[in-house]
Amino acid sequence: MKKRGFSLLEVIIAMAFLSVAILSMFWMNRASNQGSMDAYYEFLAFSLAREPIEVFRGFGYDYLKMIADGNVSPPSWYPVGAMKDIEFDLMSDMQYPAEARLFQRLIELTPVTAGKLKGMRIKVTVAVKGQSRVEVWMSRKAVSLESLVMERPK
Amino acid sequence: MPEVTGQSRRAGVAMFSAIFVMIIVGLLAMQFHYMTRQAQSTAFRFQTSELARQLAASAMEEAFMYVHNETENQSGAFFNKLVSRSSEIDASTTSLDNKNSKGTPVPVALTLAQAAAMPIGARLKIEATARIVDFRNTDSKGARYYENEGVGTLELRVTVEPKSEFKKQLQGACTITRHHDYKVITIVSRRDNSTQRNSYANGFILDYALFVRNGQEEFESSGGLSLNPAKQKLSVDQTGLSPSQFGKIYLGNRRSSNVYLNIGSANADFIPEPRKKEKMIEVDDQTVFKLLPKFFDQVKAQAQKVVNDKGASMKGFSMNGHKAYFEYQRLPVTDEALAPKGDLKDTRTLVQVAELKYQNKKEVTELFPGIRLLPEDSLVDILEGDIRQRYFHHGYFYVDMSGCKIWVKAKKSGKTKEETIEITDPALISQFKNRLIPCINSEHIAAITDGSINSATDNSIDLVYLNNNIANTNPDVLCRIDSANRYLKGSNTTLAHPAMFHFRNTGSVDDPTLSSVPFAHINLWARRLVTRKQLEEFNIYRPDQKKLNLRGVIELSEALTLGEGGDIEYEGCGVIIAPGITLQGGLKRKAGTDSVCVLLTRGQAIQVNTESRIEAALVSLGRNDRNGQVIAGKKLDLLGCLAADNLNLARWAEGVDHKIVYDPAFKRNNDLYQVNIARWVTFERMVEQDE
Repeated sequence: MKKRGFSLLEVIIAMAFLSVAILSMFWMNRASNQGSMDAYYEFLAFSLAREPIEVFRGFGYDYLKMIADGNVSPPSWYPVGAMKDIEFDLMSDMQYPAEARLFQRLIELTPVTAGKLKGMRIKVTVAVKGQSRVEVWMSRKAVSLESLVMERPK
Repeated sequence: MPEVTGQSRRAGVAMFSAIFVMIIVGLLAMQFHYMTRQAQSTAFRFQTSELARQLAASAMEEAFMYVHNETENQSGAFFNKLVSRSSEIDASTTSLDNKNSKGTPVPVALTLAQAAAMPIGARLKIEATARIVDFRNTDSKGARYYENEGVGTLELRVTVEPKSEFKKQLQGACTITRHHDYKVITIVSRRDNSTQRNSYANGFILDYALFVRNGQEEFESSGGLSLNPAKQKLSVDQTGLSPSQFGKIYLGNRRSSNVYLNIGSANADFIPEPRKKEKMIEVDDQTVFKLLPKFFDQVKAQAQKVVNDKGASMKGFSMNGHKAYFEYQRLPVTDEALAPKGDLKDTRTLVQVAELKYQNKKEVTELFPGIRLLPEDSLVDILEGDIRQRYFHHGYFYVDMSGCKIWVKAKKSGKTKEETIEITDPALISQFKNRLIPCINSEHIAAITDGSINSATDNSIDLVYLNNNIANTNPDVLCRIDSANRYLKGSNTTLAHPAMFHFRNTGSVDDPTLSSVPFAHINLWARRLVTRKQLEEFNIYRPDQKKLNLRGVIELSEALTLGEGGDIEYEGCGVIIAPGITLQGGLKRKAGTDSVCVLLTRGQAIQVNTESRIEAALVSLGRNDRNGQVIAGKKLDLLGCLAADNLNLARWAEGVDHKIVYDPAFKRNNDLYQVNIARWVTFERMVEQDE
């Protein structure tokens, strides 16, 4: 008895299904990869935004006011008022993950008042550094976080 | 049926293998994708939670500062809820099941505005509440604090969660709970002027315009000069105030004793009526001879010239028909009032010295009016304790010679035989009538043993006879320095003794020197042992701005000098306790405020070296040694009140008119509380919710 093979049509249809399945998997894989990296860098960026807020909260209102007024300089690794690279220096007191240098950070201090209440709004924007691989992976080009530090009784 | 070969079986295996691989790869891809979605979701949730946490932290800071500021506003709703522990906010006595039903909203406008400006933040609901979770109204010894005073714990709770319409999309939430201790203390406690306090209040001393704790001892040891100094003048003026606003005046007498203020010319109308009584008693000529054993000889001597002129002889000299009248007048006692009439001053001095010698008390030979209390018509509403007025009761008699007949032997013209003739000489008669003979207690005079009496007394009078036969039934005939009447105008009402409480609230005492000091509840003080430098760091005293920001009771660990650069303006209500205070400049309340300033030492001196007005209470009362005093090195201009262990006026500037005007801000019909909330966090819990 003559062996029967697959007809061309069957092969084409099979290949089409197979292609769709494989492409879907590739697409899903790529999307997943993209999403994972996006989540990872978002997490990293947000952590970098959170860090100066926590530190600045510890500084307290009066010191922040002096920084905002230009009477004192902030610590060198927390420049205020300008988008700056996050330095990666193994010898520095402040250590960041290596990939932190793929970001830039802007710390803004704005005095706010409501009646007798006086406070300092801290806004930290962490942006992806241009020409870095994060640009490829991260969907948003910048994240920001804000908080308030209120004047406290002495 | 076709036969199945082995080759065809292998082809089927490959297909199934391919499909199996495809399924595995597909499952892995899906798993990877699922994990990716999880990672993305986690990253988003992290962001949302972090945002919620930051907003919660911001709202907590803002809520605390709102509460801190509102507790400074005595007329604010939050302040009153906190002080009165309204049922809305007080969960201190609520069962655990119902504690969460209590609380008052705390506005967090800045945080809400910040959240609204953020894409995710705008979808979050932010709420802050405050409630009292604990309150202690007794001290460590079980003594109950005054009224609403006490130490409490305020719970602040901030909740950040998605608004209801976003609850399915957002899952981040955060709740922060913090506890801050707070203290409630009265700076000025209400006082009904018509009654005494029935329990200890921290600010009881502010009831008084002038309060001298050791007044009795100081008065007695100085022979009365402490309140009647020679070179210092002090007025306590409350003119224009209503009786309910008067600051009380207590000069420190013990219950069984009294102190006095000398009556001078300015307040001679204090002296009780009748101020002069004429012809109180009339005595005949024979009594006059007994009262004045030398009188006959004196008249005889005086008549010598007249008799000689008439060519008569003194041999048959006789007299009768004269009388003596006893009178008295009540006069100011001071040198100022009596100096123009030297004989009266001498008599007063003699009477006083004799009285003091007799009573074995310290002598003061000159008397002064040192303190003046105004308005004089209202002193019955002002004074507490037993403060007497001291005036000079001048008892005397004079001989009325108008009916007196003097006889001598003389030869009438043309006759050789001597006859008895009457001598009439108006000058002689008036000479005796104008002579007022002071009546002095013989027992008192007897106490003077140093001979000084000889130069001062009219030793022609038989004082013993006077005492035993006339003064025994008519004591008003004798001179005296009278301090039987209260220092009141037109009244001799017995006034209430101030209520004193021993060691805070554990019971009243009679002896003012044993009474507790003001602001004795240390655990209600806002700050302790603050240095002068910290006072500036804490923004309480800003010498550069000449400002003093007061809030609650602050104790310094070192002496304080205020106003070196000029007058100080203060704002807020508070007490500064320091081991010594010097005022180099004035102290003025910020215009338009109800600010209250109390400067207090625990027995160290308060030195005032300025003539500028001081609008404050100056209190120098010791806890143990009780040597407190206020010393005005320059003319004192005080709008407030003064309280000290010792008045010590002798150390005040001489030759100026010191003035205390009572500040009615210290006399309220409601309590003036201060709330001091601690910046320290005694408890904190943060709950981040992801679902």
